[in-house]
Amino acid sequence: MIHALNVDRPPRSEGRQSLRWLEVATVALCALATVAIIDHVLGIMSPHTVLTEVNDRIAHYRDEDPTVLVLGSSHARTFAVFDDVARRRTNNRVRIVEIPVEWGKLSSYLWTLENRILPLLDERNGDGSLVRPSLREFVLVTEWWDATPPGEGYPPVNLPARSWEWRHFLADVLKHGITPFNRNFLLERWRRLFTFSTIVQDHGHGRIIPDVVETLHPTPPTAAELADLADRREGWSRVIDEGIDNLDSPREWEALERIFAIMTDRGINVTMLLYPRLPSLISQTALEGTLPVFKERAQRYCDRFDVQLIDWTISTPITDEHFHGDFDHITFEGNSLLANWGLDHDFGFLLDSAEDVE
Amino acid sequence: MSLASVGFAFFLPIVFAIYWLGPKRAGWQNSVLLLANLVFYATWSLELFGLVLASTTLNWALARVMDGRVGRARRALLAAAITADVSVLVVFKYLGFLVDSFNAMMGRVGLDAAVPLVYLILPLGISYTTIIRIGYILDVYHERQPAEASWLRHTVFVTNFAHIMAGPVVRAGAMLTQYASPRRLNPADLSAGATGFLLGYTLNAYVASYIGTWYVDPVFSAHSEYSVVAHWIGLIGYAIQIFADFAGYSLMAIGVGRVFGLALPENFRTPYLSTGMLEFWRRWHISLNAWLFDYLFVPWTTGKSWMRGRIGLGFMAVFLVSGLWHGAAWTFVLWGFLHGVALVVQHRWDLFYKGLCRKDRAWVQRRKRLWYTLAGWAITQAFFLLTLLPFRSPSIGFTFDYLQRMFVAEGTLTPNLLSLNFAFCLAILVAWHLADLPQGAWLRPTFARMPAPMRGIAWGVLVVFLGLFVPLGAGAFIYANF
Repeated sequence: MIHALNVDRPPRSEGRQSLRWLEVATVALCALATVAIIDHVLGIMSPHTVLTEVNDRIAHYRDEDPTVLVLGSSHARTFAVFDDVARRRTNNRVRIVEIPVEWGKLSSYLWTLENRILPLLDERNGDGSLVRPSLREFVLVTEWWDATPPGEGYPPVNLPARSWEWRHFLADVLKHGITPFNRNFLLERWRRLFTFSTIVQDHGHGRIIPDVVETLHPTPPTAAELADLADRREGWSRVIDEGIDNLDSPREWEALERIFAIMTDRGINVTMLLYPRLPSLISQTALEGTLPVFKERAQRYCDRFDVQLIDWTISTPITDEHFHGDFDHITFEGNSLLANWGLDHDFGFLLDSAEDVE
Repeated sequence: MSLASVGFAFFLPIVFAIYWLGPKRAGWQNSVLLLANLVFYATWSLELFGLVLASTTLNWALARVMDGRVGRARRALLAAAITADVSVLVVFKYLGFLVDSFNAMMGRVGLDAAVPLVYLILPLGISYTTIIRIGYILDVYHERQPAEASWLRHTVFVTNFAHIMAGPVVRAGAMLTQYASPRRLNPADLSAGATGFLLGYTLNAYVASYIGTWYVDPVFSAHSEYSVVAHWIGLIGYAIQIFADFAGYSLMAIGVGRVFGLALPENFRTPYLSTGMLEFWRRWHISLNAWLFDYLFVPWTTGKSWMRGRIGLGFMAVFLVSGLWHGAAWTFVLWGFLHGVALVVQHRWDLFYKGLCRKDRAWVQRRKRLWYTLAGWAITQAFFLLTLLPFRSPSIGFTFDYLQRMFVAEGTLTPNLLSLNFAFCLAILVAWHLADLPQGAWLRPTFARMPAPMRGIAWGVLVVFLGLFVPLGAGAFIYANF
């Protein structure tokens, strides 16, 4: 016979209890201190950035009553710099709030607009007037990629992490249980609980160890690393070239149509911006294929809704040097350049947008 | 949600706070636990928690009715309770398998049965809740345990979120008394619970995830592309993965129980140190094997039935049940059969050896020698390793194909063993087992005697290590599938 049960209870002596609590507290505090110290040291060697997300910017929108709303993927963050410049130039009359839906697609933007932004946009006072009446301009920051979902019928995978609130998560869990899709919400909530921690922010990215090694033992890039970099560049370029085969997603185009309809119905002036791309990644194939095909199709929707289309794909002062190593995002200096240049040129109208705002 | 998931990191502190900040009354604490069980289960399926509740309530009610009765009525109630419990298990877990097997059998004799296949969603933890309920009703029937008067206590005992997914298999005698009295938060429980949870998490989310992701899944998913060495690595990797996965999860479950002032039974005791299969099953999934032996093997082989005294047959029957309990597939039947045979062989060997010892006492001494122990260890571990093949395989055909490629394979790929993470995983496993050997017996006491700040620093370093090396979203749990 196997005796598996082990129900011996731990000794309970009131006299020992206080001593043991002190011991447990000491262990816990020392463990916490150790984690905090190591985390801090790792943070020095591998600094992390906490990016603004939909929830941060929605809270900002709630308090700010902006004159300009910008919606897009991570690229929309560029307009945080536009906001600084515009405020300076107009003495805070123009207020731009950008809402970046990281890893967004047009359908993600639509979901965010309908479920997170519209409740604020349409919120009314007791007398029927709008709570936030200042919004005049809406800018949709996009590019060809946003019209190419990974698979039809699949929900936009970035929504739980980027746009959901607890109520959306709980409703989905009640319907489907915890799934790989809605679990992303929890992972992101967890990450946001510890924005101060390098270790938590790095989890899943694996940047800390290489950064620490590089800090302690700096070495020039090896031939293999350089080859890898070249491969990545080539890969990116190829993705753009081949994007033309994947631009025909009814769901994403319907989302674009709906976004335009929602905003124009409210009398808001809408602009669609095709975001700048790293110039050297754009091949002749892309210039003759993916990019014009996408633009032409987007233009048709813009014409129907009287929306202005601004194409900055390769027509700005931005050069390769203004991009981060991910070939996708523009550096702070690049964004400053773009904001000043943009407000002097194509987006100059934003500065006049608040003229009738009280 | 599993105990290693990020969802649990939100769930545990909330339940912990409500549980301990509320009144120190058993009724309150049990109510909080029941609600927590509901939420925990709802993260998988709220509807199917209704099924678990209904089965558990029926089990409780039948035990209550049985309590005052004797003779035929009592036996009928026992039969009704067990039939109800087993029926739910059969319908949800085995119906598809039975129909599939029936169709295949008819096909073999040239008949087209074509009974439609029905694969229902398997309610989470159904195998565990079923045997806990059957154990309870048998305890009440044999008067080892009075029928529990409180529905709440009985329901919490069966459905506790700490063990509902994968055990340990709890028993009424040990648990109901704990649920009957109010629990008080004490530092020893909190400390032991947190320690167990952290160590379990290390095994489950780090060792099992890493080994599974890099050395097991790739080989098993495309084994024809891998070399002979890779096939051995894949299988040994699986032995490491399944131990770390399950022992780790069990430790986490026990740790969680402890944090709520509940002592759950031990489930693993370094099984890879076993020198015989009987010993192995006393060290691996202890609570299940103890249940199988106490509730099936002992009554079958010592009762009044025709199986009385037929030890070998008892082993075979118990392990066939164990195999089927693990999964509704012929691979699990094969696995159970092989282990049944192994226990029969070992039992016969022990009887034979006893005979030798009676004739010549020198055999007693020989059994104590190192070479005998090492031979026993090697045979036991090699046997267990090879029987993991059907356990991991999707079909019997795959099992034999993989087995063949462990000796002759045309594939050329071999997983890279020269990795820092692999070295860490091995170091953790070695230290884990060393601590249970006489040579390493000093490890745990030495750590416990260290000044509290030193221990705190050590735990802190472990937390940082896990933060750096545990893959995002790790902590999937193989045994949840059973």
